[in-house]
Amino acid sequence: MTETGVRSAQIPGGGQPSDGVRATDTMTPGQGTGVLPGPPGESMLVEVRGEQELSTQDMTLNIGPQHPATHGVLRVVVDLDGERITNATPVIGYMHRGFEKLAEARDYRQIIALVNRHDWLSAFCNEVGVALAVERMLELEVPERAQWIRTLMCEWNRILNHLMFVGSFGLELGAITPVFFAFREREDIQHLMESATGGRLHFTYCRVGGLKEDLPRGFLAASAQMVPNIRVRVEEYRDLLLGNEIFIGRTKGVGVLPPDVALDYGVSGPTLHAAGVPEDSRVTEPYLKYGELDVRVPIGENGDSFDRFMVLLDRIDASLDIIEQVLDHVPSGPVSLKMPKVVKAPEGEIYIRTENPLGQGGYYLVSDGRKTPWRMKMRTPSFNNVSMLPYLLQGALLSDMIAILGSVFFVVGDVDR
Amino acid sequence: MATDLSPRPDQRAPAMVADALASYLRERLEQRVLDTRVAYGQLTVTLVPEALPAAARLCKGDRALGFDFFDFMSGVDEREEGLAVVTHLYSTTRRHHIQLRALAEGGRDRPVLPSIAHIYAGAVWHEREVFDMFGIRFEGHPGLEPRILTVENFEGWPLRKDFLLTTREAKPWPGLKEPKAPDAEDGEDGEEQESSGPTAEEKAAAAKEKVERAKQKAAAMRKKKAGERAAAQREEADGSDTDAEEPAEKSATGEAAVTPEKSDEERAPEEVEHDQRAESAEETLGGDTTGESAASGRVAAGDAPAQSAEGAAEVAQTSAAKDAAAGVPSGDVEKGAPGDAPGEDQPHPDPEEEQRVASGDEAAAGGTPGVEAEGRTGGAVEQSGDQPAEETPGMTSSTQDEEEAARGGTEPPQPPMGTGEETPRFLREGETGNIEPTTLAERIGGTAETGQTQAEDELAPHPAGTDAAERIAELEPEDAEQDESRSDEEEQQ
Repeated sequence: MTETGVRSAQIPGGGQPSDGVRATDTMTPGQGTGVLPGPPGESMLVEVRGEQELSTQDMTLNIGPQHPATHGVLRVVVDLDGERITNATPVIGYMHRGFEKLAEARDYRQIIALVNRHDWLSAFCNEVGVALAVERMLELEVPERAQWIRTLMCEWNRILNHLMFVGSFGLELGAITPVFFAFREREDIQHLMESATGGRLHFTYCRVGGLKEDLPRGFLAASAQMVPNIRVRVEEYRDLLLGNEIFIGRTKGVGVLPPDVALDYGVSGPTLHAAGVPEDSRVTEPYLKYGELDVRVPIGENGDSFDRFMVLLDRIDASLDIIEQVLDHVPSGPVSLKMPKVVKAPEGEIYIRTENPLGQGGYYLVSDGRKTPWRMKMRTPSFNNVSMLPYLLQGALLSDMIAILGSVFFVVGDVDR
Repeated sequence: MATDLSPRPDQRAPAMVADALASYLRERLEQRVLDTRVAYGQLTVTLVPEALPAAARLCKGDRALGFDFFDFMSGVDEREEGLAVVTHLYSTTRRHHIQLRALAEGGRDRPVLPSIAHIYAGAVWHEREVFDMFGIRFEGHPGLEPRILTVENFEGWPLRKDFLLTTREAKPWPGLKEPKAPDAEDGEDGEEQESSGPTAEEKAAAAKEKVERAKQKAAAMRKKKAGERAAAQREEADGSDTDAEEPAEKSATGEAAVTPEKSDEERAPEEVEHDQRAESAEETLGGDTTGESAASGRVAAGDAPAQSAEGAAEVAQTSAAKDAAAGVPSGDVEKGAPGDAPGEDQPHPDPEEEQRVASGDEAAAGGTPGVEAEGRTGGAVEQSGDQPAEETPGMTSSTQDEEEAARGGTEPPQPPMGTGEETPRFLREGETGNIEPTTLAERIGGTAETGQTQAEDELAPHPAGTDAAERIAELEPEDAEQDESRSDEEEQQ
């Protein structure tokens, strides 16, 4: 096939050889040492004469917006030099639904239904943020029971969210079992939450001043029963994934995020914790009842994909611990204040941040005293996390991109709003 | 691997309280700090625009400040003041927050601010977002285009207040009418209580009274609109020769000029919306066409109120009938809400709202037919026995067409327009704020071909005579639900 003194090399994706590389009689079979070129798009045998360095022409590859590894419609345009990513540009906006504009045309109880939807995996945690913002502006003292139940629901929602990513991350790396397991647990938790809220994804359970209604009878008992079950199953995930050589090989040392860069981009949540920064507003600025609880914030050491995944699993455990504590505390009493139908936040501005499953969520609310907000900025963890992706992807191998995208936990609806 | 390490507050440098932070920044930035304010324990520092990068650099680099976490950046439309940008920073080591605020220079036409993307990497995308939503350019930014969230060829700046929500243009949101605006119907609230008494004569009288009232209101509104329009036109005439290239932006200034009289608290938001709509329509019209066509547009606008006054009357009639029969929509009255004194720390206990809710519940207790009908919207169709069976399906299936027809009927011939969207704005400016009852009335009128007219329906003394009202009551929640679910679907995917 090849002459002596000539190296042969494969160029992936049919890229055009350049400089020191000469394709043997490109596209002209029958001449000299010609090699028949493969069908377009397939690899092509090329010869390199002499001892020059092998270099390839850059190539731009569009991944997404419909790619199974991108969680929705995130599109990443990557410039490739061989297998290596020289530059990556996430293109967002495919799911932009104008929530911030819509919020300006809705009153607060309607906004609570609205914010359920931008991050559909953390619906309840989003609701809480809006309710807290308005309550804080109105200086409302929400009943104890409501606050405890909110805390409980937040943690169940957090586990629900994390299970999704535990499952999907395994799936993206080629392990199909974890996703089935994760959805089994998700189903259980969804049943539990549905029994109280009536919703499986969009709970709409919070109200300004409390909750929609009280928990159904037996909810707390069912919660208590479920905690050990989930805990056992999380152990199964550990066995399944963390003992897997392929999993370790594909995630260790991949996509290392230094803490200062993470902070600079405003990255938060498990992605930040994995970098070793224990910033968690449940601890640093407790809201709801977190101040009275022992909240454990698992952190990583290296900030790579493996650590991010570890932190995610540990956070499930930490949330289960919190749920067990909450169950000891929930008092009896009313779950809501008597509120007028139309709530008007007083004039002014406020920023409330909460530790959502994916990171720090926040609502910057500017009110002019009417029943609808003047401006409602939704600070979403996914937006900041995804804005950091170019940093992580630059210099990574294309195949590692999947491990990186899967471990920088984001929901595209939360990015685009 | 991952170790557990809960942060300990005592090991960290102490947070600076908001006031200390404020004076610290004032010391270092001196007169470049225009204003500091603390709200809910949170400091907002207003700076001169040029000082933004310096302030950001100080915040990040200064050891005592240590703002290492870039939280978010957000534009805010500050009406006459212009467009402001708020940057929120947080210190993970000291745990204090700060908001840097600056008003964009160049007004609404060419707002510009210095970029801080080279200081905080997170600002790169946030500045792109602010540019996309508010049209504020950031000098020194590596690349604001292509637009980050909207499509590439999108025109306008969505989160500015002069950018109107197009779906609400086409159809006011159903949610607008249900918790009633305190002003628009304030006179009617009292009547609702009276009319929850069951006799049909009273209802009819109340309905008539409402019609009268609505007519008066419409007339007053027309007058006011005319005045405002004149003002807007004057404004527009002044501005049109100076800057004709961006009419949409100009409408903002026009609006700003009128805002002081508008910002009156008592005015209903939808009313304000209508005003804005009308004005921006006029402005755009005037901006991109010659004076001639602007004049023709004015004629069209002049015609509209006359018609819409009738529309308003109709609205009142139907809604009055509905209210009379149904009390108020009591479907989602919150548990325990009626009659309870609101907590003392609630700044906005709305007595009218309370009353209304209370009256709604009374009606429910009394078992008023209308309320019942509303309670079981599904079953009510079969139960209204004296109604011909074939009428209902026809009504539901053709509602869309009829609505279109109804709308077409009320519209004057349209002058040829650039975008074609402006014309409906004219039409609705004179209306009381609700378009739906009008179309509903049209619907009822259209379907009542079996002989019984709407008026007969309302005036008939027998409870069965409240057919029309019941039908509205049936229709309306359904309609609202449809709309809501539709818009939800839109929003969801």
